[in-house]
Parts: sequence; structure tokens; C-alpha cells
Amino acid sequence: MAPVTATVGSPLTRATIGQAIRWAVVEEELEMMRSKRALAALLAAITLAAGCTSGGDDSAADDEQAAGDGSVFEGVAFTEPVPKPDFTLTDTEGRPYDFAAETDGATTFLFFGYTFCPDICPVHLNQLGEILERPGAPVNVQVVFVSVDPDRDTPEVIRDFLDRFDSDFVGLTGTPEELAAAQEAAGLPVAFKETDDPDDEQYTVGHYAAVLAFAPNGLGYTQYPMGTKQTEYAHDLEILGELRTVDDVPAA
Amino acid sequence: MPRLGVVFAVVALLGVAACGDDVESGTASISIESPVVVVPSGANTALYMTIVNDGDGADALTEVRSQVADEAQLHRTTEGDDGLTRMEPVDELEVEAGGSAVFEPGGLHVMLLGVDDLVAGDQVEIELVFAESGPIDVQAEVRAISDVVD
Repeated sequence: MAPVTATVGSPLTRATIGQAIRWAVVEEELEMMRSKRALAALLAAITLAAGCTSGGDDSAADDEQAAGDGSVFEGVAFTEPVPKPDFTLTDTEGRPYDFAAETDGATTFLFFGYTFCPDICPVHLNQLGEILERPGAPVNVQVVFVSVDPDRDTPEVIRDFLDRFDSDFVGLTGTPEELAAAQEAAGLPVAFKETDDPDDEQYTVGHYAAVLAFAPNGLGYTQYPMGTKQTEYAHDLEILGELRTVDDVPAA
Repeated sequence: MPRLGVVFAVVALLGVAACGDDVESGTASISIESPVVVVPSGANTALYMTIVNDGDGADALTEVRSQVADEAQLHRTTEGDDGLTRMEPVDELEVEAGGSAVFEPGGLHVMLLGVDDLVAGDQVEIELVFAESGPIDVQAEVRAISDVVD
């Protein structure tokens, strides 16, 4: 197998720290977005209970969300665009995969999860698979799934899992150190195996549960927490695809 | 043995009285709505449903069993202060009188570990064990994730 490296202690470190701080800000926004969702759902429920169906539909709630977010995206927008993280891991064919280089020029969705995850991971991947299969969907899109469970997720297991959603999805793995470096490069908290027992084969893994989205210009603009709807992904996909140079500004 | 007879009578009365108290505190009436097992994409999958308690006493889901999985665990997906999302085991899920518990993606779910290779349309027998109501058998339909979330 070819040597695989993840960028550690590179000049990126400063940027990475800055990025981590920005993610922290994003966490607050994410919380606000959740509250807004809950409020929208409550309002919809009240409207329905009042026997009035106009305005209680999803699109109204979505519009309100997009407007309230202060950005053109329906995902949770970052406070400012972030550079694509620099890391190299191993794909399901056993080849080195330089994330930034391989996805250069493509709208890219990056997600750190694991195949034994029954609740969140399949939902995100299924939604991405479905919107990309729609007639007329943009073709210049890459979905990259990084398994944060190297002990159980062999390349074969990852491939079988991803093929359930879309055989074009890229699956990556690496050593625990490489995977930690990749998550840090992306400004994310490092996933954690939730067991102390080395014989426990049914452990779960705590991981960052939102999907990160990067435009063809190589900048990340938004992320998608659990609970994101397909329509929200689809809406933002169009906007992201138009951002071809770093000078392009997201426009609805 | 007249004395012993009195003791028995008192015990019996106490027993009845105890039952009477139970009736006063209410009886749970559990029903399971829309049980769905997601088509597995890996070794594990999830069961979602809504537990409704129409009775006037509380109950608690204590265990889930199914022949189609090596193990079934009750979980709640939660996001920690560290930014990581994890599945926390739930030992016992109380459903209060007149209340309900919604199992849905990103929240409560039954994790089916080492699940059979199920396909959409399959029917799966699930046994839900409640503290008060005892075991309740339900038939869950296997459905694609896209049928479960928007």
C-alpha cells in the first residue's frame, strides 16, 4: 500500500485553530436554528389546530428559516467561508486520496461518520444520494464519507455501506492518528470510541454529526445538521455550484 | 387454627387494599403507532415508532427483543457540549399517563444490532416489554430511509 500521510503540524495549524473557533460560533447558530425549527413546527401545529391550512406548510417555515439565518443558504452558514481542509487518507480501493486535490473544482460534501451508526449517518447519505439522483441534478458534485471507526470499518465494509446510497460516493479510512488529523484539519472535534472494553465489538462512536459543504472555489460555506431536509440540501446545491472563484458571492 | 385464619384474612384484605391503591393510581394503556424498521445499510439499523399511553397510569419500556437482530438496544441520540453526537443507552423509557414517546431519526430509536439483511416491504416481529403492561408484540414494516425522513 502506498504511504499515506495526513497533514499534521503544517502551516495550516494556525488556520486550523482559527477555523475551530469559527466552528464554535457556528455551534451557537446551529442551536438557534434548532430553536427556530421548533418554533416553526409549533406555529405550524397551532395553525393546523386552528383549522387554517394556509401558511402552515413547509415552504413558509423554510422561507422564514432562510431569512432568519441572515444568509442565502438553508443550511447553517459559517460566519465566513473556510478553506477546504488539507488531508490525505486511503480510499476504498486502497489508494491515497488527497481530499483537497481530488475534489478540486467540485461542489463537495464532507461527512465524518461510521457504518455501524444506525440513526444519523444513513439519513445524511441517503438524502445526498437522493438529491443527486434527481433528473437535472448538478453532476459536478462529490460526496466524501470519512469513517471514524477504523477498527470495524474496513475498506470493503465502507464500500458496501456507501453503495447502498450511491456507488460514486468516496469512502475514506486511515490510522486513528491520520483520522484525528483530518478531523482537526476540518476544524472539528475528534470522534470518540465510546467504550473502554477492548473486547466490546458493539460499541458506538461519538462523532461530529453535521455534513460540511464546500463550493467549487474550494471554500466551505455551510453545514447541515441532523434534521436537514432534502429540499434544503437541494436549494443550497444550486447556490454552491455557482461559486467558481473565491471572488464569487453566494446569491439566491 | 382460628388465629392463623385471621392472619390470612388480614393479609388477604391488605392484598386487596393494595390492589385497590393500584387501581386508584391508574392503569397504563399502551399502543404502538407506525412501527418502522429502516432498511439496513450496514450491520445495524434503527426502529422508529410512537408509543402512546392512553391509560391513567404511567408505564415504562424496559426491553426490546427481535428475532431479526442479535441484540436490540434503546438509544437516544444527543449532542454533547464537546460538539460530538453520540447514542446514549436508555435503560428504561417512561411513558406517562396520557403521554407518548416519539422515536424518530436524531432522537429516540431502538438500535437493532447485527440485523438480518432485510428489504423494503418485509414484516418484522418486535416484542416490546413494558414494566406494567408486560410484553407487547408488534409487527413493523421494513421501509427505505427516504420513506421515513424528508
